[in-house]
Order: sequence, then C-alpha cells, then structure tokens
Amino acid sequence: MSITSGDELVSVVYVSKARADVGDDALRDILTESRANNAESGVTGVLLYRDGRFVQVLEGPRDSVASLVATITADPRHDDIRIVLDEPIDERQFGEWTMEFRPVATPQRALPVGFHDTFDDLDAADSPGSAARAVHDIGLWVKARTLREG
Amino acid sequence: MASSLAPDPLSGTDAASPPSYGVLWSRVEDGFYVANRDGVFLGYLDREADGTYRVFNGRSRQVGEAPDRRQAMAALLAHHDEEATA
Repeated sequence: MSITSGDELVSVVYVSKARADVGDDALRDILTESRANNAESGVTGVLLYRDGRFVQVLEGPRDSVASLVATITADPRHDDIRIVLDEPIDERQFGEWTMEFRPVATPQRALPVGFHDTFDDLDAADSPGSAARAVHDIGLWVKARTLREG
Repeated sequence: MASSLAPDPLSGTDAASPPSYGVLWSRVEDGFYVANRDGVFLGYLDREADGTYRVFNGRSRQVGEAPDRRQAMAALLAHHDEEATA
C-alpha cells in the first residue's frame, strides 16, 4: 500500500509568466474557470499576479490538485511554469476561497537593506523551507487585506 | 506602543533598520513586512494610509502602533522578547 493516497491533502504552489497578451479579460476568464473547476474538485487557493508573473497556491486532495496542475501546464496563457512547493498539509491555509485573486502592486520603494522580497524568494525557490515561508507570508498578507476590506 | 504617531518621513527611502539579530524580514508588498526567526513566525507590520504602522504578533493580534517602519520593527521584536521571558 502506498504511503500517500490520492485524497491526501496537499499544497502545491507554482510560479509562471503570463503571456504578453494576457489582459484583464483573460485574467477574468482564468478566474471564472478556476473557481468553477475548484468548487467541483474540492480545491481552494489563491492566485496572485505581479509584474506579469502568476503565483498560484492550490490546496486540496492530491489527485484533484495534480489534475489541475496538468491542465494549467497545458494552458497557453502560462509560460515557464515551475512548481516551487509540493507538500502534504494538515489543514488548508486558503480554505475559504475557491480561488481568491489578488493583484500585487509593483513595489515603488527600494527594498530595505537586509530584507527579502517574498516573490523573489518564491522565484528563487532555494529550498522547500524558503518556499513554504514565502507562502505563509503571502497567506498572512491575503488575510490581512481581506480583513481590512471588511 | 508608541504614543505619538506621525507620517514616516523616511518611508520613501531606505531608512536604517534597528538591529534584529537572526530575524529574517520579508516584504510581501510595500508597507507589509513579515518577521521570522529560525523558522518561527514572529509577526508582521502593516502600513496605514497615513504612513504609520500597525504591529501584529505571531498570532496576528495587534500589539502596537508606530510612526515609522524602524520603530515598528523594534516594537515587534521587543514584544516578542517580552512574551518569551514572561
């Protein structure tokens, strides 16, 4: 018997580049499709967009998430897809959202000396630990912004 | 908690940061900074529209306010140390 099973809860995070011609309409389409598919398959998560790059966190049963990742990988609206985190989880960080979307403003200020940029850390994906920390930080930010907006 | 709040005059520049040994600070977006040390989440700072900062501990509970990032960083670390020694 396999140690992992298809209904094991996992968190998978990928980064990708949006094709140059992906505009607001295409983003809206991606979200509409994601939310419908995710609601059916028990997948939750968040989609972030900054400077032409996507970061998507997918949480759900391993088989459902794997199927979704395969679909996304074949989607011509994404380029250079890289999985930066794939780990089993005990509970969901984004369980309230079938797919929350957050555009992230391009930083206008220099990164303070000694600070890390969370999105650069995800891109670099030096280790599963640093990717997991970056995803945790993003989760905090999403929840803080959601609370602020009431 | 800082008693006097005023817009951060240095927020647009790279104001010096207070010593925060072993703490890894990350920016998710301008004005939103997260602190971790040895894999432990210490808390985060969130800048308000007026340039001041709210300070949150590792359980995302607000524990202070500060007029600028530097003081907000110091407030978070001081709060963490107080909790650790309580």
